[in-house]
Amino acid sequence: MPTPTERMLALIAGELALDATTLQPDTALDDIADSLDWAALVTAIEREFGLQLAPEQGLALRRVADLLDLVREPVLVCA
Amino acid sequence: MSALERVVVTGVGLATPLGGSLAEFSAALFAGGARFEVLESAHAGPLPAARVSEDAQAGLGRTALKVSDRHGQLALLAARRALAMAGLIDEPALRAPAGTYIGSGSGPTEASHHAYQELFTTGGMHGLSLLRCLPSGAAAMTALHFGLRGPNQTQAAACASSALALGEAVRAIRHGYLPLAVAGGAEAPFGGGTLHAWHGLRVLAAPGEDPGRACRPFDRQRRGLVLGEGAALFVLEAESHARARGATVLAVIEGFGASCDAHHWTEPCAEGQLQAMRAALDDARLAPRDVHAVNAHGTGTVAGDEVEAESLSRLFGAPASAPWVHASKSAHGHLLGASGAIELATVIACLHAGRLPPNRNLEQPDGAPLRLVRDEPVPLRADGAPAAVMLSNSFAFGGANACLVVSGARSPVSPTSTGTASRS
Repeated sequence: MPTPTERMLALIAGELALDATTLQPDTALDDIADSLDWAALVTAIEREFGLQLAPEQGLALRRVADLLDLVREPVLVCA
Repeated sequence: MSALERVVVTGVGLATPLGGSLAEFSAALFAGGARFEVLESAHAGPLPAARVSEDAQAGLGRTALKVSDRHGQLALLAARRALAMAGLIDEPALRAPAGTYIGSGSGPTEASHHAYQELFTTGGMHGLSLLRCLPSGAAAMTALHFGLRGPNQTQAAACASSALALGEAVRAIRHGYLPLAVAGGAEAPFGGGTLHAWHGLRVLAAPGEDPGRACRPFDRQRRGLVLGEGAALFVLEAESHARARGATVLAVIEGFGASCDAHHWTEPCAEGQLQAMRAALDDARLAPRDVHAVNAHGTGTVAGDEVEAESLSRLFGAPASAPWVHASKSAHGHLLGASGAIELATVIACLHAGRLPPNRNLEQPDGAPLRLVRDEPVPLRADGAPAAVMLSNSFAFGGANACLVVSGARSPVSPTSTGTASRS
């Protein structure tokens, strides 16, 4: 079963008609998505992962890594 | 009094069941019309339909594809061809002042159907659904793609939409608001919900054994209309502007008239139709006797053809002295909001050929007092003179009526204040 990270990469690639293997954590979202792409991408992310992104959250998303952080499961650290 | 501009057609762009160029369109028209097919719809059963066979998405960029519906894609294809024919595709500065006037009765039916289907089944819809479902999408996309910075208008008046769009563009150019415009119509009505809605009105013809024989304007066996899709866009210009840049003039829009029946949602009214036709002739400064042929609205419905026959016979008199009547929807389908536009292409094709094709499927005329073209093509003018005048009707649900008067590129028809008979 694909991990949340894999699902997010596949979703970005699908919405933007890109090859998922070309997406790097540091890839700037402005370089791969225009304003119309962004509207579609945010809606798709919210629907796929059951999220609700506030406008200020959206503004803070600048790189692919920021999108991956939305769905990356926290690592449990045992004290 | 300042002189009003004469409005000419310098480009014709098509994406229709009869083809994508004026030459292809004309050849198919005179060869007997388009191949109709049977559409299997989920809720309306098998329906005859006239479709565009070419790929409307070919060559479209990602942005255009992600925000467009089929009706916008067809419009874009037609606009490109019209601008190319007018010699403006490589002239962004020359075409920048153009207005965009597009008529569509249903707009983005496929995108709307898909968006609402997604909403009702999943609880959500694609983030760009609003843009995809814009009724003004075709006009927006055309202007955006070709850098047309004049007024951008969408006319939605059912089957009169594109005739009204053309007429308003003519008025804007004639009165000096614009030097040129891209105007016409686009319709892609085969979204599932739209088909179901049309089926509910009980005005669609059944496919029968041959869907190509289902649309039968003015025939005794007529049983309804056949839906079609497509786009027809034209470059309209002030004649002075066209001549100054050496453009080829393809036709002249002599007049435009419009009215509303204010009578019934679906039942046509001869008085309203007469008002529109007389207004168009007055606008063209012509009399009924100056008209050589009519491209009737002629949908093939029982009531529609009967009322139009009445209005035509009241305007033009007895068949022996009346203009020829041709109804082209049996050849290309009823393109609804785009019907006025595709029928302007029909008119231009006939004017250029100097003749009219026979009415397809007119095997048993219903006895209406009309001079209908049957069996063989007929010359537009008995005297063989090259220029002729045609009238094109578009009558809509809701009562909107629109009429265009069109002449060939060099029309010798003069105002008939002298009472001189012009039709020969």
